Amino acid sequence: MTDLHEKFAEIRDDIKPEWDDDDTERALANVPKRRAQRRRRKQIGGALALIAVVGVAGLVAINTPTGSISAPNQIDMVAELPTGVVGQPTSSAFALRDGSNVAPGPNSTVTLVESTQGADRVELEDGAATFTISAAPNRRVYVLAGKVQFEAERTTTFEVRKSSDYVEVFVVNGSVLVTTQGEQVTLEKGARKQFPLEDSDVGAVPIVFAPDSVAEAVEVAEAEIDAKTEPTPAAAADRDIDIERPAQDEWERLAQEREWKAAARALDDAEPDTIEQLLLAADVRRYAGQPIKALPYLQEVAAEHRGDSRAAMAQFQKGRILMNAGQHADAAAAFASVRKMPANGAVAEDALSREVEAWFRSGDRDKARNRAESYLEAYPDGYRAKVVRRYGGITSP
Amino acid sequence: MPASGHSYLRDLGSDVEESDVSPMDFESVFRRYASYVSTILFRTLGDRSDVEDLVQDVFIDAFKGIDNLEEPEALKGWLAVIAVRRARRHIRKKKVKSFIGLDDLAVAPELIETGASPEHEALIQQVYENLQRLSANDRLAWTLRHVHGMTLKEVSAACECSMSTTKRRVARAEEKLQKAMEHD
Repeated sequence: MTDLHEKFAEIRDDIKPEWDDDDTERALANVPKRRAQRRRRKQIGGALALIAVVGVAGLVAINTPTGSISAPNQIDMVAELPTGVVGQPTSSAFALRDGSNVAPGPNSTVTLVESTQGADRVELEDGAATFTISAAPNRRVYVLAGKVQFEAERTTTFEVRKSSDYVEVFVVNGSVLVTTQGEQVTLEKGARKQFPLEDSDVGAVPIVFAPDSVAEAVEVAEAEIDAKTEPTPAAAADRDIDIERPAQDEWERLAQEREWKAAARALDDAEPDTIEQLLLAADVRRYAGQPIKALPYLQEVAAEHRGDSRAAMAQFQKGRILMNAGQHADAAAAFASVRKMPANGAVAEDALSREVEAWFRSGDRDKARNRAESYLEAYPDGYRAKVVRRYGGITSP
Repeated sequence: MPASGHSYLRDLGSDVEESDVSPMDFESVFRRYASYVSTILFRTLGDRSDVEDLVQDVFIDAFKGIDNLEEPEALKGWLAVIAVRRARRHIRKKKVKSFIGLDDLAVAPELIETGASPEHEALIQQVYENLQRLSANDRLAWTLRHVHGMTLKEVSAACECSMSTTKRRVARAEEKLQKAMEHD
């Protein structure tokens, strides 16, 4: 058979876009109008962001013990925060001696465990909290969540969430040193990682990343991607055209500030381009409560960057969204395709175990059992073996 | 145009706004290359709607980053890069909108020459319909190479990717198109 492009070459001349001098003149005359339109869009985006910031500030103000329900500016809010009381669990925001502050989220509890001249220790008991740490020489602030300790290395804002089996941290600004069971890692702005909550008598365990968020896969795979697909600006400089690095979009800025709803609104009018942007866009949709809208971005990552481990993570995430949406058979198919992806090391086991669960929930017990047997064969001591046995209808040995 | 950039931009100072640039310069570049840019957009998108807006966006964007140009001869390529960026965003936006039911992916027939034979017209329609199913990058690489007739090197520059990635994308698109059209 003749190659398609050869066949197409014969008729290429039949593709004649209609664009003449009149079109050029009309388009040129309308450029000022287009510029004004673009400016308006930018202003609307900015206004939405401002509304979001004011809204969040109002909510935080309502949560402060002062009882103020007005929306003071952020400096006033910080000034009004009471100093934390040692040993008293609280769900309200408070300040530390050095001006740092701690803001628990809804249904969350934190305790100022210790406050001395040299250091403050705060423990996140339940839920989530935001820590805004002021850089103060000779003074440290330690945050504990289970067996995981966080320490800001300079002026830093970070968020910690504690669930039944892991602790998640997201660094909004600055840098955080994480210590868990003898291992240390420094996380910079924009990083999000999860750490398992292990019993202390298990001994030192490596820091592992639970495959819960696509965004964290960015870091997991960073070392792998340099040699692949997209060129670096330096490589581009070797060519005739000097590549412009696109400025950060408004939705990305809002996402970094975890203003998910505002970021999602700004994202409506944006076009994520790179793999990083696509993954972030998916996160924005998920955290803004629009998981279904995350699917096209994840699909794009999975389709266009198949050899990249982030593609496997994206596909895995897609499976989870479909599962939560009740589309169990589709979820199972998504998890199954993760296993077939080349760079799936970080999520292969999880994907297989979730596939078992998805088939079970879809009502296909045979497939659930079949996949469960595959899991137990591949990972006889897998950390999800118990769950897999249950969904696969396999009794314990 | 000096090798280091545009003197008329530099001379106006660092806080120059795009609207402060001499309209003659913008207009002459626009008049000279609007047709070229529109052709890239038409052929990659297969659709006339929004092309006028996109052409304007390409020139507005180009003048924002024009200081990055080191050689005046690179202007045409620079415009191609920006046109491809815009096309890529447009394709992705359409896909997302179509996914959430705000848009459809219908193919517009107006880019076909009126004198084309029915067979040719049908093939073009078929190809563009199937192009909608490809990823934005694969679609762009294939259309730039085989519809627009760029060389692989030109496609690589316009898509801001390596030659090997370009080859891979073109081949992948061709394979998927072939398969899809065999099933049509």
